[in-house]
Amino acid sequence: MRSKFYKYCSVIHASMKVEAQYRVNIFFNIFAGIIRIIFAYSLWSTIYSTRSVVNGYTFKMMISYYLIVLAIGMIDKTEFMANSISNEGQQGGFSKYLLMPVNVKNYFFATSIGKSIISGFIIVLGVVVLKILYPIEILSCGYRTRVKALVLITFGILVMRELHYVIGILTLKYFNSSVFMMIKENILLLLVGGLVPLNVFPDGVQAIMKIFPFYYMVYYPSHILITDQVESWIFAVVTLAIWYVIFHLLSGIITKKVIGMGYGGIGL
Amino acid sequence: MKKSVSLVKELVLIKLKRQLFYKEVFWMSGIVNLSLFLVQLCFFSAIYGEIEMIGTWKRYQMLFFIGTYNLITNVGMMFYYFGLLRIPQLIKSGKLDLYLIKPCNPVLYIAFGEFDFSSITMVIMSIVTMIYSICIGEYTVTIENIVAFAFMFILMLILYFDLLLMVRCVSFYMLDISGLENLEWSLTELAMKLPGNLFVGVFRVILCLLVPYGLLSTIPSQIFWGNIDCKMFIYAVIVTAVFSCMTFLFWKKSMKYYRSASS
Repeated sequence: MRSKFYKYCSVIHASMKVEAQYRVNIFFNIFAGIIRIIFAYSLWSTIYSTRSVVNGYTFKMMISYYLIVLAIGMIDKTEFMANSISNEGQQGGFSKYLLMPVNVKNYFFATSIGKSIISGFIIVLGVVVLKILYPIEILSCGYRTRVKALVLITFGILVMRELHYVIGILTLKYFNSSVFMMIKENILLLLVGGLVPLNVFPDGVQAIMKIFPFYYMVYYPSHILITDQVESWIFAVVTLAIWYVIFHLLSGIITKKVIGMGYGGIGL
Repeated sequence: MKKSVSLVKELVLIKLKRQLFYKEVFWMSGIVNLSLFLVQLCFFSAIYGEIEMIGTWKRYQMLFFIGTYNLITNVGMMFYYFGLLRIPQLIKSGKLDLYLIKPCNPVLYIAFGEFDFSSITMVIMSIVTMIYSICIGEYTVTIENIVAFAFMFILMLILYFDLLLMVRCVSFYMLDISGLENLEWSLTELAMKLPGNLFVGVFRVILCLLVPYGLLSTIPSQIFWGNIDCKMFIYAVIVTAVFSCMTFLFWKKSMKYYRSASS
């Protein structure tokens, strides 16, 4: 058990080193994040110029929402799993992971954790800078709510891990992967609340969204952090847990079918 | 000039024949663009469900803005986007040399060598969206509006080309420009979701002057909706001319710096 732990720690360490190697890219990625905040600020400052509250959110809450969404997006690097598996599969390099004395899913997840840790440092740095420049309270909720949000974010990342692994494995066999990745990226961004808080959608649409895990991955934790309303937290945890189990079982079956039986290992 | 036009024509024809052969790639690429377009529509319909106007932009005007943006990007994708996207890879692999030794303009050869016919579905969708927005806006379209829009549309296509090429020129100096490409994509997304005149203060200076992604679909849309303003016209022409000159000089400088992949 301990040796396994150390094994994945080495993978995380190596991934962090690789991520930190291209510092200019980190710098540009920070700017890309800032642009998303500029977008939110410009759009919502125009909307809030004629009203003080939109869907229960004040302007400050709305900007806080986008900042939290950005931070969660930076922490969750599981998308790397799907992209890497897909790229390696296309180039015929995926076979080497099957020969390694590691679990393929855990290996890619450990790599994504390495990337998340570097992003975590950037977020901490960003929060410190923001506190110095604009001493505003981004989170006005209590510590209990923060812990509850953290639990949801962690669960969300675990569900995403399973989902991205399933997608990655499927691209080895069935899809024109780059195209499929782009479609997935576009749709997921909307579904998790990355573009706009999900409470702007009609109640009927929200009711459908609440059945799926995406609602609770980014939007819901951000929402409870800025409103301190945690009424349906247990329901959120249970929904995420159920979807985690579903995706976990699915990933096992698909891995067996794709890698165990039909994977040629020579790329596309 | 005549030589360049016939080169582009030949490249487009060759690629078109190849693409018609691989029909599944044609449909899949169309679906990607369509998904992005639908997400964009969902995003704005969710916001307009709450409010009447965003700044001075009514729902139908915003719909026209989205249509214009998609038209510009998809016409760009059809002709030069994927070609320009290959430049970093060509530099890394040393294959750029093959393009440089050809007796034609290398930029045109690279850019128009990846003609993508699959974007035609989105071009049609964008035009349909624009026509629909005109219908729901109950707006009378004049010939002046159409001519002014067409002129601005071509100008913005040139500006989009310049911006894309300028970013790719950085790959002559850096091994990995994925971070810069990520930043570029964020800027493109920003321009796709918000008209340039909604930016305030320093953001407006940055996005409408220094990195003018904010102009791409804002100016053609604004001009179409009756605000044919001479100042705006001249501003768009000057910005495009300046960026074209800068891109040309940057490419020339990068070419001098280029030592092929093996050296």
